[in-house]
Amino acid sequence: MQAHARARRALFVAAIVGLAAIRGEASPDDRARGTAASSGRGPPDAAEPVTDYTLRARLDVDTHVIRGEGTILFRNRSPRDLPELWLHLYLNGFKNQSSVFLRDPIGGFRGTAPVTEWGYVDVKRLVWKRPDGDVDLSRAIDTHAADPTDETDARVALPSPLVAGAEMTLEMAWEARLPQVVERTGHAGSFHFAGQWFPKLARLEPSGTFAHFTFHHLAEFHADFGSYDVTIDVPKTFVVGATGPRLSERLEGERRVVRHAQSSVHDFAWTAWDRFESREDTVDGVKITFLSPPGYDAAVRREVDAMRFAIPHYRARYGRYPYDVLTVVYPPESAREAGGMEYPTLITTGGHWWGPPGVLDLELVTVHEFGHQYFYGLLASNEAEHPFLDEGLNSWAEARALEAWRGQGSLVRLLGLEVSDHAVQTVGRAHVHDARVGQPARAFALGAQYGGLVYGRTATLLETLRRVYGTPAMDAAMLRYATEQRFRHPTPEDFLRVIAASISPEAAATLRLGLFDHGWVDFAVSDIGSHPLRPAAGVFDRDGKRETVERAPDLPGRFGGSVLVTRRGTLSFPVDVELWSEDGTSTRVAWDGKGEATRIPYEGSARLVSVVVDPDHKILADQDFTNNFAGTRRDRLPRLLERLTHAAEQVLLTAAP
Amino acid sequence: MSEPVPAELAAIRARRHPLLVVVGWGWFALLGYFAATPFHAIARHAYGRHPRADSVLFEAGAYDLLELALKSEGALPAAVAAAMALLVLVSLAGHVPLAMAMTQLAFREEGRRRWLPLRTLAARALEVFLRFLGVWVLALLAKGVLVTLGIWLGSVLARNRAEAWGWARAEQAGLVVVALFAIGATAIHVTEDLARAEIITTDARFASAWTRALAVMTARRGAPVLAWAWRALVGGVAVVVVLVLVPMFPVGVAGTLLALLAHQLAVGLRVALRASWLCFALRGARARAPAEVEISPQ
Repeated sequence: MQAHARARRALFVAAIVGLAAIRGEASPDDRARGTAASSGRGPPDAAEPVTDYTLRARLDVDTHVIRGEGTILFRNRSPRDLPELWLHLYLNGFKNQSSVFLRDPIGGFRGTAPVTEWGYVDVKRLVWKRPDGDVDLSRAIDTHAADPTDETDARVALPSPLVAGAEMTLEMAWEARLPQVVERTGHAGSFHFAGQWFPKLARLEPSGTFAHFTFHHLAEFHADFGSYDVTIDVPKTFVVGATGPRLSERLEGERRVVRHAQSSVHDFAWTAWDRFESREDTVDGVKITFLSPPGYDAAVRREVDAMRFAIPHYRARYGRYPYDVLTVVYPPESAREAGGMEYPTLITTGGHWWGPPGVLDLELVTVHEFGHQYFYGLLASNEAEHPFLDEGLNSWAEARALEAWRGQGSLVRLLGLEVSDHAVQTVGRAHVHDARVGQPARAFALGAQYGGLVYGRTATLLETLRRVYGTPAMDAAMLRYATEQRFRHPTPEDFLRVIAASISPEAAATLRLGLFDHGWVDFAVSDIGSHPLRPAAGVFDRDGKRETVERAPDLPGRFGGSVLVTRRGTLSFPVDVELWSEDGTSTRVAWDGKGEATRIPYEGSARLVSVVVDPDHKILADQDFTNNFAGTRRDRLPRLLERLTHAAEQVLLTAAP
Repeated sequence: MSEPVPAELAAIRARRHPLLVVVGWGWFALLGYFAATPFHAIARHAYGRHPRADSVLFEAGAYDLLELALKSEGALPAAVAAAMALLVLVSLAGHVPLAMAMTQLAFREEGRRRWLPLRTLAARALEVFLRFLGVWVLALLAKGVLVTLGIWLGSVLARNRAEAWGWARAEQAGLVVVALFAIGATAIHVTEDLARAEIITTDARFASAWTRALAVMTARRGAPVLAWAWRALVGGVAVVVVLVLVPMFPVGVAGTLLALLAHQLAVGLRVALRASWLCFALRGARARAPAEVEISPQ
């Protein structure tokens, strides 16, 4: 009976949310649920709901088992009748060593620690609530439909198709055992992080097929938008953080029962720990709750500063953050793998309590995970198939934000050393020839390639576009993409279309090459020469007469010469070439970068002594900066020698007897 | 040639040996230059022809500095290996100039005010070399064991108390344990120099030198540690000050010269403080030494 009531409520909520979305404004109920009304201009503030979850979860902190029950209201918005459903049971990735997650030998990224406690999710009951009677689907669940040994991607054959445009209510009960934190989710002592903790419907594509996939080591997630109304039941000493605003909280004997709800999201995560310390702040109308272990006050202060910068910055660049709340979770050291992850309105950070203030790693991870509220949360691209669309774009946005906030020392600003996040991201080019940037996460052979290409190379390509084609054009493109595609699950083509329209078709073509075809570029100075000018000597036929001009002395104070600049690779960008004369003056020449090489002539009052291609580092995608210059003489680099000598002296003074 | 005799206590002062401090500074400057040369050569090969020369490696953003590090991936290990080899060599052979310096500080030659003959110093240094080496090896082992033990105990404490106290508090407690063991290692470091002073001043054998040094530490209730510590602290502050100041200097020749001056002043100060500390140790040994101890002229 209770289940029926919840189902009805879910239907009612879904109807209200759907109506509000169509009208472009939100109901009072939605406001309470964290979805503010649309301003009428700019991006929509609510998504068209496809799946609404009404769940109840009870956590046993001793066995780390979550017992859940609830309903899913699912709408078939595709033009096809559906003979099946696909359920993601991600926790089964930690069930045994035959899962795709554990059997694929992929290292070099996150989640490489051995599983010391297995995790799993068992669907205990799955019932299709129909007017003509309930249909038990429990026996129709085939957990090996996608893979003979993996159990994370389950097919549910329907006894009769769900017709196009119809909706269905599924009633379910399940038991989820959290593993010790291996990758993102799990427990460490009494700390619990529940991500991907419930049976979750795969996303229904507009074509009428489900975007389903086994849980892969490198892949993240993809789901339909909808509303989540979740009641969480934990021991009363535990502090809970969860997606969406808290609608209620009460004590029932020795238990604490909290209810969170959020519409226009595509996932729900929560955490519970009896050691959390909580701090709240409000930025730009968003109530932020910071949950952290005891003794991390300094780290939380840094997070607060980062969020105070990030929310207005991202609003200006990618549209308003449409939710009323955000929870920032700092997992304990023992659960560090739960850190650095994003869920709708909830992000996790992490690191040491003693991080040096000049190293902005905590700021980076905080800004990065908040950025995912856009490049994952609101845009909701397919993270498994096109990871560059969320991680890559978000890495660029993160570096752009940090540079706007902290300047060139956006990652390290310590004792005169200023290291830019953009500079660090360029290391991804080391893998350019190993794999395509724009391929599915599961196609990467190594975590290092995935990290270097998806995060770093994408960001470097985008930053190169910004520097070459200008900040206004790039910002306009990203704003347009982020607002037009909000709640729309964009594909790479959607993104490239915006780049073509907002910057240029040429820029989009270049980006396509870089993302999907190992596109690379290496500008190099291949030759430099300079000599005194003198009148040309030899035999000349002029005005019908033959004239012999003898060799003349050099013209005083006039020098000629040339440099040969080559462009290797498949990408082309316009580039500046800077010519330096012996008298210390320099001139710049622009090259459209279209050919394979260009010879640039020189004439001046002093000898040409050196040349630099791309002196402002606009082409960050360049494979090799060390061949971007040439000179006729080699400097002794006294400043560097002085610094190195001093460093060595101090080491010797400390270590030697 | 007159015989070297023990210097008066008042004469065993670093300020009485400014030239020795300058020589010590020169020694470390020369070694520093040698150690830096492979790294500098790599950078010069890659960036020597850039029109902005080494300025480009110090530019904000560190694009070229990172590029240099990445592109030198193959060469850097060789340079590091060369620097490490130099460090090991200096750690071993460095006992000779150290013994020469300590002898110069602790003795004087009849009739000559300042310098003992180089031959005398060298002979004395070679004579005590094995004992110095033994003191160094034993102290190194003891310090290594102590620090390792401290780190291990600290991490065990942090791990075991993390659940009850939280990681931050538990790690802070663990750091206190590490710090306590580090103080112990510092005490050994100080005793090591006291033992060297005993060898130089009283010609003590290896075991006797340690015994005497430990007796000094016990009798003076750790006062030598304080004497060593304030000098180390002043030296450390000088290093931090130049690390903060130098990046503010202008780019160019003037800036480089200013940086050179500031850095070498810091190095010189540390050398002077080291000499001052060694004098402290030598004075302590001299005060307890039998009057007849002398070194043989060669």
